[in-house]
This record gives sequence, C-alpha cells and structure tokens, in this order.
Amino acid sequence: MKNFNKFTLIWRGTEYEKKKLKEYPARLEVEREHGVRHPGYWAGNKFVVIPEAIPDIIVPDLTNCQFKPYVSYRTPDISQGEFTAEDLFNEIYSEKIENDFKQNKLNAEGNSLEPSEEEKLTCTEAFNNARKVGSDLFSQDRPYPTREELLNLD
Amino acid sequence: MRLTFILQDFKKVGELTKQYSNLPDSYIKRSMEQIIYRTPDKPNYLRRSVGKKQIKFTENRPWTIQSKLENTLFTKTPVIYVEPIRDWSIFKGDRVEILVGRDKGKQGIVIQVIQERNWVLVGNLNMKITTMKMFKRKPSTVIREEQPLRVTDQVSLIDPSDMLPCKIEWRYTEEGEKVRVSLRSGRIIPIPILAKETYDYKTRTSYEEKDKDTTADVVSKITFTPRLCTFEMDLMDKVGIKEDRIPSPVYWY
Repeated sequence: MKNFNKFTLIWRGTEYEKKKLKEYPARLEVEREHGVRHPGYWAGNKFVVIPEAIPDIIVPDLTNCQFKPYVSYRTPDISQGEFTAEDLFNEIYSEKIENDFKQNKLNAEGNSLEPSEEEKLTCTEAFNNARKVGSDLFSQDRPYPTREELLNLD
Repeated sequence: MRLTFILQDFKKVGELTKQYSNLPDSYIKRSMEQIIYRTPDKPNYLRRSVGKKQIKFTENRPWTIQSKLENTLFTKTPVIYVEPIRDWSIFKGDRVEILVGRDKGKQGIVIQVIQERNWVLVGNLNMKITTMKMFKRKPSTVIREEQPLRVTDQVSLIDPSDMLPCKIEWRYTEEGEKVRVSLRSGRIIPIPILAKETYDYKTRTSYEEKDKDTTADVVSKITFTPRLCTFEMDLMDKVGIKEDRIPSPVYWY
C-alpha cells in the first residue's frame, strides 16, 4: 500500500514573522528550538524573565508510603458519596450545638453563650481568610530578578 | 448502513469477553486493529488511518496471537450476520442440554462463552476429531476439540428442580435483584460462581496479593478528615506559610 500523506510540513512562519526575526537576530537562535517553552517574553530584542513561569517541582518524601503501583483484586467495591456543605456543618458544629443544648448554654436566639473559635467567625472574616492566600502575587514592591541572576542562583 | 448492523454492534467485543480478560478497553481495541499509517495529531490534518480495523471473531480471544494470525492484513473479513440478543442468559459454568447434532440430548457444562458470535462451548461434548499426520517418522496423533453451539436454538438451559431443559425469563425479586426464572416450574436458576472467573483469578476472595499490589486494608481505609478551610489554606498550613495581608475589596457593577 502506498501513502502520499506522509510528508509533514514544518511551519516556517508568515512573511510578517520572518521580517521580525531579521530585525531581532538574538531571537533567531532561541526560536529555532521547536517546542521549547521559555520562562518569559520578548520585549523587542531583550528577554524578560517572569519568575512564576519557571517550573518549580516539589517532590514529596515517600519513605513510609504504603501505596504500590497496583490495586489488589481483593478490595471490595467502595462507593463514597459527595461531600456536601451540610456534611461539613455536621462534622464541625453539630456536636457542640448538641452538647450546648443539653447543658442549657444556648441563647433565646439559638446562639451559644460560650462560643468556640469557629463559631466566633463572621461571614466577612471567613471570606478574608480565604482571600489571604496568594496576596503577595500582585504586590508592587516585589523586585523581578533578571535572567542572569536566576541562572546563577542554581 | 443497515439498521441491523447498528443493533448488533458487530464491531464491538462482547462484554463477557471483556470481563474475562480484565484488560482495559483501549488495550483490546489497540490489539485488534492493524494500522499501517495514521495522520499526525495536528490541526492541519484530518483524522484518517490506513489499515485493517475489523477482525473476524472466532473461538480465539481477540487480543491473542492466534487471532492475529487468523486476521492478517491481506485476509478478507466476511460479513457475518448475528442475531441480536437483548439479555444474555447463558453463562460460564451453567448446565446445559444440547438439542442438535451427534450429542443430542446430552447434558454438559459451559466452558467458554463467545458473545460476539452467539456461541457457547460445552465441555467434552460436540467434539470434532482430527488426526495430525505422521511427520518425520513421529507417530500420528488424534486431537479432539469442542465445536461451538449457537445459544439461540442449539442449546437450552436446565431447570435444577427436575433436570430437564426449560425456557427462562429474567425477573426481579422483591429485594430488586435480577434473576433467571424457569417458566415451567417457576424456580430460580442461580448464576454460577464460574461466571465471574477472569484471566487473573477464579474468585476475588481467593486471589493472592503480589508484591506490587497495595493491600485491600490500605485501599479501603478512609484518611480524609474535613476541616473548615479551603484547599489552598490547608496547603499553606502544612507547608508553613503565614500570610496576614488582606487584599482590598473588589466591587463588580
């Protein structure tokens, strides 16, 4: 059987792109490595490094891990339901409310007289706690290191 | 394309054979097809392939070498018409009576089910005898092999109350289980243990755990403990990152 579909064509770029490459010859060497993703962007003939774009792989310590590549056929069929907001409420608040009700520590409104830390949380406080994560991302004081600095850091 | 072709799913491997193999669907599909060339997975190509994708189903399982030898690239696959069956009712390990042929009236136990062709092999019955001829002064030998029987009309299930062939029907018990019931006596015909046998084990409980298997106790243990925080907050606690700054509020209009 003969196939004439096998010829693959490399994308050589449009005329506009070819012009730009001639203007900035420093890009040429890097752009020819097909499929390489560089951590940053080109501003004219200069390369600007974005530190968030550099992959940082965190490998966990697996000394006492009991898991192995396969699962034995002996395991029974486990079906775990969806974990809803009601389940979370029952898990965290329900026991304390029950104990307070038996010991008459509840208000006329239903709030406890000796609230725990979780019961003291207001709606805005809880929302702000969640928003604290990653708040350093967009701070303006943070200096961006150059590419040479990052390469010398190892 | 005809309607009957869609109904019988003639291109697909039967569910019982898949269950026996314990292999993923993708592997079975890959082992069946013999493709010379496939277009690369890029946007400027259409998804086309050159080669053979359909095999002729026989007693040999579709992922084995024997079936590959039967279905080489240049053999023609005949179109085989198979009667579509909605509820498959004969399984491996069932006692069965043969209705046709030399062994008519004899009872045996089903060894293998070939769902793609509506076939069944009954142990030590309906055999074909062949003599392998003398070769290099070795004595010739006689080989016996079971021949396939059609499920729809050449074989019938047996009622365990009087050990006679019967017609069956699928019904539901009061607990909601689906069972086979013989129409003559109304007795339930239980599905044998052998029906759940696979290539790797006879039954699940009798399987011996190997070195690379995670044991059943470890897998079935639930280690999740709910906390009143988001996923990111939980990660920050475990890694040890502390953050006090609160971003300014955002309003959408």
